Amino acid sequence: MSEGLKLFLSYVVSGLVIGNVYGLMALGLTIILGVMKIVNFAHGEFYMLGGYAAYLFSIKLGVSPLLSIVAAMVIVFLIGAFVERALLTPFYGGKLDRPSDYALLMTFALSVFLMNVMIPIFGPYQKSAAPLAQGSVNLGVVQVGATRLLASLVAILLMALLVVVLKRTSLGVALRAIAQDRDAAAVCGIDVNRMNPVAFGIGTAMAAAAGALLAPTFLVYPACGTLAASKANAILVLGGMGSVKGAIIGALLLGVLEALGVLFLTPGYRDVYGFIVIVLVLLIKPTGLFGGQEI
Amino acid sequence: MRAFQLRIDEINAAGGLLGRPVELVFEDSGGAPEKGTAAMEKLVNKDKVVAVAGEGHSSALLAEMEVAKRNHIVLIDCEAWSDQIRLRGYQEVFAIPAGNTMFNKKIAEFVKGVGFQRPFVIGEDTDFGIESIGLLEKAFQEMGLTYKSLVVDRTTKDFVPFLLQAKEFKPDILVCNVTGVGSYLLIKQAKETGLAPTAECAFFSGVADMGYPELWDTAAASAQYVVWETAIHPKAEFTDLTKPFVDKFTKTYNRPPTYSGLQAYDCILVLEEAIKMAGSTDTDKLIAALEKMKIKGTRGEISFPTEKGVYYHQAYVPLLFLQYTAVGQTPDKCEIVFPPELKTAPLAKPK
Amino acid sequence: MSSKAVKRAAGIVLLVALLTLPFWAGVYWTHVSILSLYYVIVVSSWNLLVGYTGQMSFAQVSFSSLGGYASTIMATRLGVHPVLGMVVGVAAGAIAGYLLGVLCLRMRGVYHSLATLAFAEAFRTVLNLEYKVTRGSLGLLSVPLFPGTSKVPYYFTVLGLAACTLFILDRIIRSPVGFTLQAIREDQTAASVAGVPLARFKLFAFSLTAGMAGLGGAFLSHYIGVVTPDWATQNAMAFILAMAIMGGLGTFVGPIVGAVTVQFLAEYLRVLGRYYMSFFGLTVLLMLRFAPGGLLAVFQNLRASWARRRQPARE
Repeated sequence: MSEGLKLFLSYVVSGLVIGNVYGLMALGLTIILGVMKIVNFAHGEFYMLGGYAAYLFSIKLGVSPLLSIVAAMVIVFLIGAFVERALLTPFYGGKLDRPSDYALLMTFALSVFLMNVMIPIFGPYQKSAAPLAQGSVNLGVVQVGATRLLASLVAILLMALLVVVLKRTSLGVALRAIAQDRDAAAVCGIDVNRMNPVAFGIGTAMAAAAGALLAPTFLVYPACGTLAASKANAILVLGGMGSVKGAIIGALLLGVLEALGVLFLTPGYRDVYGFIVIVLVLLIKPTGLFGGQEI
Repeated sequence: MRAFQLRIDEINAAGGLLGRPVELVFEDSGGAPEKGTAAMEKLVNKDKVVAVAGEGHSSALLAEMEVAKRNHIVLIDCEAWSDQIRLRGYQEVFAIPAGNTMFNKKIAEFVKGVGFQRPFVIGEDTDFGIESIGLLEKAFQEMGLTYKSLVVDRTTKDFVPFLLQAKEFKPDILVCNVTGVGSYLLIKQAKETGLAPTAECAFFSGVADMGYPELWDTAAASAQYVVWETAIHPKAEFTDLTKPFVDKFTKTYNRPPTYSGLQAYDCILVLEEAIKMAGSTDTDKLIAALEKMKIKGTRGEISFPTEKGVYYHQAYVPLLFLQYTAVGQTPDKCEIVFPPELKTAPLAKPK
Repeated sequence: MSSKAVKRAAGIVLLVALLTLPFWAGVYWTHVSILSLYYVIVVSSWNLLVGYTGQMSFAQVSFSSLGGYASTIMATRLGVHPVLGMVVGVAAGAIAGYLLGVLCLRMRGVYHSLATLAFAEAFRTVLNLEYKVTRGSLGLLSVPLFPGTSKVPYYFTVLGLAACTLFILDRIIRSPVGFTLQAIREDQTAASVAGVPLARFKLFAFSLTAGMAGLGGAFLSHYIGVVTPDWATQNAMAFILAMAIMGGLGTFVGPIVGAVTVQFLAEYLRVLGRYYMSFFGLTVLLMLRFAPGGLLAVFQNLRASWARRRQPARE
């Protein structure tokens, strides 16, 4: 294998390993968008909350890393549901002049608040969480940290679980129905208003899982959600706003695109490619590659 | 800041300075230039302080020294290394830590002295990092070594693409001038990608963060065999002020000071002496006093040369190269691997 | 005294106070006032695009920082006088705003906002990475607009700039152009069907808004003496948002009230230390949730209920 190809593959593989976790986060974003028709600008901060939860449980309370991740998901689910009830209900009230602007500004303000409220609570310094594994694993073309690899595998598992829930359970069917046509779903007897906090909670729980999974690798600090959110946004746009399949493929695509960028341009710009991708895709196909209103 | 407070408490306990108590006013610049200038404006114009000391980020200090100059107030650089600070030659500004030139010269000497042939340098995108790369490359070129370097965003958390590039170069030593948590992540990720520290490639990091216990929280086992530099070590006590300060700090704050703590303490010693010598807090008198003084600090004798250039108003700083030889090791148990006259053990390599 | 006379007297007092501020407020509060006036420029112009034309944009901070960097680079690298640098800053902002507008022309709603966010974040990253031009996260040292250390000339400059900006905005809003922009906000499709060339008006709004932001940023860089990528972060954008919302998005006076209130509030909140930004964020959240019309709406509601109480109920 030529050196160039080997290098490219090493970038791709290491990119995909992390990319999967962002894909999980993007999946959460997709569900929120699909069911509630809101883009959650605070998604990165729920990722960050998940990270802090993982830190609290695994380091401060000595709980096992895997359980800490579950705990993080549960806690953030509850926080997400609460946030939805407390802040986002006017969106559906019909009384607002410009509801989509409202949701936007509200989630944006929420993100600023959450990011900054962590500083007095936990301090501005970074925290870690107990890693899922130690050492590194040789994947042939590249050597990756075992923690990352395990995080990636858990993310894939969670995504698969979510897909199963969406396709096979009544909850999932209800969510998909609302995503397809809110009014029709209501007519069919689904309590659309009660589904909102559930959908938001599930979405944020996915972000929290991603945050908890990556906490040992990239550490947790108040602003750690910003980069993750931009990747999740890029995946969302790439794969299709509101498409589950799209989110998964979008994550893979982003990983490859970033690797290509790193190889041919500079590594420093890797995180900018995501933005360029967003803008290009929005220009060409505003609903994303697999875009549509169903999830 | 803790070291500052320690000395100020000592001064006040002994009756104050010129018969008056000393008060520490604190502002956080966050290492950002415009926050730093805002903080300076507040300190100088609102709080009306007599002198300013501190700052660890060169870029912030470069902006702050403009405010110091405009308002003609003494500014003592506590931990900012950029040569630019010294080169500007502002009379109000005095430097306690080593400048980049002084510091990187030592690194180059270390690299050559221990016998490395292919260094790879990773620097952060700040004055400190970029200047370091420039200075090191020049030195390496003069020594006839093959080298390569890379600049990274100091807020990066994922260094893997950069490390993979470095791995391609097949270096025998990785020199990292990245501050903050990035310095720990670099070690962890360098080890995970199989780059360093290994038997083939050593790892050197030239930042103060290497002395903090957080290193082990974040980098864990990867940090074993890392070489770093500092200005203190129990086996290399510098003056009779060193140990009392170290002991007192450790007792008061439950953790030993790193060299930046000593530097901070020296900042206050220097200001204290200047005020005593000048008999007032008038800036011109303080400057005259500072330029004349030769006092004992915690790291050696302190005096500020007035010749313009990279050593203008720059106190001399001794530098040691230490290596962590066991996981969780504390700095005082490290082996000194350079310079040869203070060496306690040869460079250790992992299996 | 009739309420009109009271209003006029108050207006005169305010005007006199503004014109003589540096002489009675002290150095520190003059500094805070200068910052407030900078925000008045940036937030009022943002309001034209978002409040009046209904095009959400998270990129306002990109334009103000672009103005700052352009002007500073002109002044430091090319030795140009800061005033000329400021002109370049305005131009740079306007052009970039135009380009962003073109990019977003066909996008609607959420996609539009996401695109501006992506643009803003990409811009900030580029500022950080191209350190050879911008000195990256270190920031670029600038050249002061006036020699000497007095803040007085800076205050009057920014006061003048803010007055001009507000004057221009006022003229536009009251003109048929302003009417059209608001029509676009209310219902783009209807406006288009009625024959409005959407692109032309949107691009106009985008570039004017961005140009004004560039003006503010250019001025600020020569006042503070340094411009950094922190100017272009979303945390900075949050300030602008907060100011617009607090004051009242879509009103003329709203951004002015918001900018001054928030800036002065920020100075007082400093004592909260670490809790400062979170308290701030919480205020914005609560404001949005319970008083989305901003302080102005709250004030108007109070006045209305007060007026109702003064007039006895009609039988």
